[in-house]
Amino acid sequence: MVRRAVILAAAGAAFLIGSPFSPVLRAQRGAPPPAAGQANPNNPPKATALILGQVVDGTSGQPISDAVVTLSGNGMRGAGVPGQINSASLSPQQQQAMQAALTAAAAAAGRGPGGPQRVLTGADGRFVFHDLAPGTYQLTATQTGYTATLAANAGANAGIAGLMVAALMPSGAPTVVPLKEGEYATSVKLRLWKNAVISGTVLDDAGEPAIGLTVQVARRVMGGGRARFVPGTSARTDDRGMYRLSGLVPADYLVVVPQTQVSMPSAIMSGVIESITSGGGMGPMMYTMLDVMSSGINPESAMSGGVRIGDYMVASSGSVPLMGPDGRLQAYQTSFYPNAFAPAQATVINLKSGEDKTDVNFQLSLTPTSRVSGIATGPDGPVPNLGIRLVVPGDGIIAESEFDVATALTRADGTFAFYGVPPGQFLLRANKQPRPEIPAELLAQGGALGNLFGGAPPPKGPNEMLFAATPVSVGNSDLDNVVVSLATGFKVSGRFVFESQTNRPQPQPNQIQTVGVALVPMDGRQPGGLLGDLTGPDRANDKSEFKTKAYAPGKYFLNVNGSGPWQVKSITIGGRDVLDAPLEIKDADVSGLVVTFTDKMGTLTGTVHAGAETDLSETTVLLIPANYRGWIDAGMNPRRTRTARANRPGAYTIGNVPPGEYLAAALDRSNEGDMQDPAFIEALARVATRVTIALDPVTLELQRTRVGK
Amino acid sequence: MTRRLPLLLVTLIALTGLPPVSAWTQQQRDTRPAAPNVPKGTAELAVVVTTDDSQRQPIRRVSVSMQAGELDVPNIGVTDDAGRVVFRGLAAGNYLLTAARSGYVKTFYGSAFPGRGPGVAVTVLEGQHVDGVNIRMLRGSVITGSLRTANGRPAPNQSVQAMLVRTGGGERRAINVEDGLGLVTTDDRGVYRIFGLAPGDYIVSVPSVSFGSQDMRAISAAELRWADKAVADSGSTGVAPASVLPAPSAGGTMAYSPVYYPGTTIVNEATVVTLGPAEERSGVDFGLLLVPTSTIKGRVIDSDGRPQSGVSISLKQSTPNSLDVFSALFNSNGRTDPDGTFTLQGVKPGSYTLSVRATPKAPDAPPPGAAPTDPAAARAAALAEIGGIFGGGSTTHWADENVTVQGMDIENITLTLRPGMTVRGKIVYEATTKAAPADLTKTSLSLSPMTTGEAADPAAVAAAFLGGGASTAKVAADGTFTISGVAPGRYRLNTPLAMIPIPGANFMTGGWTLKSVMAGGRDIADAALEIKPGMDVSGVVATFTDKPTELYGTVFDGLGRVTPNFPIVVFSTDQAYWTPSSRHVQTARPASDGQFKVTGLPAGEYYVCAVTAVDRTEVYDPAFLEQLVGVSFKITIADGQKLKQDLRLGGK
Repeated sequence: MVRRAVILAAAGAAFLIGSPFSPVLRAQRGAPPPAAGQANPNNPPKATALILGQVVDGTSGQPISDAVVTLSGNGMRGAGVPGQINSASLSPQQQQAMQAALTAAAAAAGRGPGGPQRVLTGADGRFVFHDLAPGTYQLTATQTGYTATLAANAGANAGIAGLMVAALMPSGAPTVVPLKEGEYATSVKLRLWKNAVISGTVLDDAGEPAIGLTVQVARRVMGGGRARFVPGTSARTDDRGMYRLSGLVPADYLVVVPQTQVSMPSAIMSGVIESITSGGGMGPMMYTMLDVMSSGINPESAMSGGVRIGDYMVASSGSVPLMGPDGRLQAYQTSFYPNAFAPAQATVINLKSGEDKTDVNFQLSLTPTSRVSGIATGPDGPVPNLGIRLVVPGDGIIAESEFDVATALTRADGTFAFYGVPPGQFLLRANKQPRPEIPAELLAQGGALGNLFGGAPPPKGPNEMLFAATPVSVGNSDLDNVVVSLATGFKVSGRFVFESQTNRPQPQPNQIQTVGVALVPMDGRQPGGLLGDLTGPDRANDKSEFKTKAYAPGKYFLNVNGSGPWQVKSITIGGRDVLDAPLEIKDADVSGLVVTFTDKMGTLTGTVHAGAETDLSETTVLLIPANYRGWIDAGMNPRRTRTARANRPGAYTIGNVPPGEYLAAALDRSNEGDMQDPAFIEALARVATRVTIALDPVTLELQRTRVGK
Repeated sequence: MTRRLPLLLVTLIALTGLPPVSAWTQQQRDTRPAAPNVPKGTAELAVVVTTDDSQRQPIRRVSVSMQAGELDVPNIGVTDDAGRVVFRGLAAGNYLLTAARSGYVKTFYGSAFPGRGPGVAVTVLEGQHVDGVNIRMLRGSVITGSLRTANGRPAPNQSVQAMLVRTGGGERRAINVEDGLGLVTTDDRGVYRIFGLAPGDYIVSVPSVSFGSQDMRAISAAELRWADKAVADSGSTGVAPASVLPAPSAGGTMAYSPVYYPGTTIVNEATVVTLGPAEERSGVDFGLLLVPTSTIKGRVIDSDGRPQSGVSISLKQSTPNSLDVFSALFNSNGRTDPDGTFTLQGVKPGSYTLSVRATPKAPDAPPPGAAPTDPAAARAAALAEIGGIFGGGSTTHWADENVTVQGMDIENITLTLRPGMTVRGKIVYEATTKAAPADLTKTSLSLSPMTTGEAADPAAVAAAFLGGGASTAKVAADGTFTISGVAPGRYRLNTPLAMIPIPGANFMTGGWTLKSVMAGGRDIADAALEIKPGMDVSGVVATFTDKPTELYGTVFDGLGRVTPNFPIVVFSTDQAYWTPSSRHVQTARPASDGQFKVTGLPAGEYYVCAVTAVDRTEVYDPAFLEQLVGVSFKITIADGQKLKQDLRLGGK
């Protein structure tokens, strides 16, 4: 319990100080803008409009009882919209997702008078909201066991933010219904799709039920043109070895029994506890916890169910480490259905809505393993308290595995040991974040936070991000004396240019300061582990010049947020575009970037038509760059790859679009696909309409179409 | 933002997959180095693990941990296909054996209670080969059933929790099942299965409902009939006809509530499920519960009647019951609007206390929530708010009101802020060898609310850990101190980190030990100080000493040899001091020569005993201490006394 509190405190403190969530908190604090579209208060419109509808199963059309339908909108007294997400530490996709989550959360929260109305449907799934004033309304339906969104890529790349989004936004984007005075919107259909199920049995090496093991799905998403298998929903096997993974949205999945061999020096926790019980403040512990957790290792796992080998606690994901007769540790490896050790050999299960996939069974087998040990060194010598992950490297088709084979933590002298490593080719990955500043004002305030960090000054640590990726080849014997050399990454620098299309004055320095610059790895994976990026985005000085923190070699998208009316128009280096194309960091700093902001961007607006249908609220408009083939290798850039939901009459708007040539198409929601999947993009392009977007708004009428998958 | 923090904390719990408390205690044992100095011997201990039935089937893959006393680093072996594991190279000693395997009840060798320790040690003599030690394990019991929505449809993806019911200290308490085994989620058919349970009494509940837990209305057939008619009357116009009958009045609001099996929100009406050994209890079916909800409206004013805006309101159940795992779930909070009014929606039936802790605003203060545009000011504001969360801020006024909610709305509650009470006293340094600190104003004392039933809620522990709700003493140069703005309630006055339930945390005061904080003849560092409305407290004396008491001695085993392996528990004979992190309750680890030392016990009468095992998180549990009274003996220690007391382990 105490440790729990300590970790919460450490994590909570790190979280509150310059984390990706700060913008959320800030957004929550912002006063809501006034509700739009209100009529003259001296002649208020009559509240006589009505919405009558039904919640139905998207596949069968059958009514869904017991669903909660939430209505919100600016026609309701006192309703506001949530604050704006504006942070360079999140990708545009993440920002979009967070924004949607905030909107949905605000809609669901129903605080204050005039807030959202919620009703519970009866057996026929029907609902009615009446006595409504004119305005624009949003409707969402939720029911456990069902999902409201089929877009396979929603939140997939969002990392920790994605988890928040998933938690806050079970209902997807709302259905939008604009109402005129006294208008009756009838036959409103809110579609929910039944979740799918995967079930089976896991047997251990002796054919007995494997009890209490985790079984997890990994959802296939595309990132940087390669398939990523992102760990998702998990379940534990019961006392019969049976598991049942429910609540799955339709997508392609691998089913995995993950096994990570966690080796943790017992001295780390001993040191922590000594520091508490011997007095003198808890500073060292807090810093150790921050160091450990910020390097992507969960220190908890080694302490539950671990056995002691030498000076290490070794645990392996709920199974018992066994010592073989030859003195070698035997362990289960991460198994992919059906009994493969790598995603490439695994069977991808394509799940449809409501599908019940049974007999996804596993027979585990033990593998003799080896020890991999060595030392981690950086520019200033050995690196203590560093998490190192031993991972299966990626290839041209599948990205690096997100199921760690093993993890280790370095000791005070920088040495480490992994126990239980199976034979194979691996990468040892490490990154060491500089510790975040703990603001002196906070420490001086007294209270427990000051006491927690008080006393001990921060132990020495790097000021810059350090990285290592060391290949190792593990055979049938122990591999010792491995050196993991951490090197400083490289920085990117440049300047901001503000070009107004509307004779707007140049922004003030304090406004420029709100612009953050961050680099997002091309495949969407964020380094940094549990706590994410502790330092947050970099900012420009008062001369509009910026220099980022150090990044590891690799390909990145630059993520620069706008500020007020100023949106990013282009980012170039030596005339070459690096906003929409990835920027590669090789072996040197990158300088001379020019980030150009404009106060006017393109807008695509119009109406979707589908024969005589009058309700198009279940339609999505998708926009992709016309030269999409040039993007596929690097992954579709979220700035130019956009989606928007049409409202009931079919009107849609996609704002802040960089000028250029695009393809647009309108699809029924059930026909949407993963906007990062080349196959879907190709299919979409075949049915899409070409449109040129310039700075002035462009209107485009679209016929709803279908994509053949 | 204050409302945001619990969400972040909860998120982190989920992300880090925190293990149960037992892992912590195990890790605490590991604070000693791998003990190369422990003499290895030539003795062997062979253990066979079998089923606890007439078949005596061997059980493979059981982790058997062997320890020479609870403070030793455990040696873990795994049973082979014959259920056998052999520990070799042992020194003579008394060894505790524990067997664990998923699906089975954790077994402490020699314990009469499945799933519970402590066990009985196995004695191994020098060079002896001990064979035939049989650990019999029970297959875990199972509770399984299905969960339905209020309309009888399966309720998937809902948490179902089984908690052990234990009686101790005169009350029944709900205890989390170890290793997180008690909490499961229903599958797509609404089916749940909780396995690996020890025999015992359980309450089963849905501790939170994953949807529909906020205010909503059920659509009524009358409403739909009215709507159908209105739409029919509108013909094909799609707009409201000129005259429409008013819609039928909407039903009251309701929400899904946490529910105990077989379908109640009241813990005393829950059916206790008694599980026998290896029993599979199926058909533990129940339904989610819709309860009527109410809205509470009111306003907060200062004593001059000025409305107070931006003030936090909290609503808490007024009679928390330590068996009731829902009490905190029914609590809610809100914030007053610019006109000082507040609205709390979705309040479930129950008896509550509405509380405000605030500092009245000056009439010309800027409105709260106006976000500063200047980044520096925004940062300062954000830091101030974080500081508030972490206990850096404190308030001067309070208002409390009791309300009982039964589905009806409550309006027009006026909460009038009253000045808080003041606690005054003096800090005394009893310097014998050290010089008293020159600057007494640096002395930290804080007044922390005493919580009841601090059993299970990690968020509450985290909040307490971070100093939530504590007020700090202002100390003058002459050592007099003042704590003002104290709301009514039960408190302890202590050093700021003393509430952390870690042995030794009390003493982080730079060589000075808090000897006592006396008020009305009681030491309010460990026992409750009751602050009543309008009653200031004065004359408190907080004494620090550089000569703390010391209880020391050596522990001998039954053979008269020194033993390092049994922890010592020392606890006051006065139950009022059996409070969390009390200095009157301490444990000590003997060193390898059997010597132990307990420092900083306040003067008084104590029980002392050596135990085979102690779970440090339960050492302040009155039920645990009550059990020890019978096997302890009494000592009395005086101020500054160094008392020697050897202990010999009996044949118990």
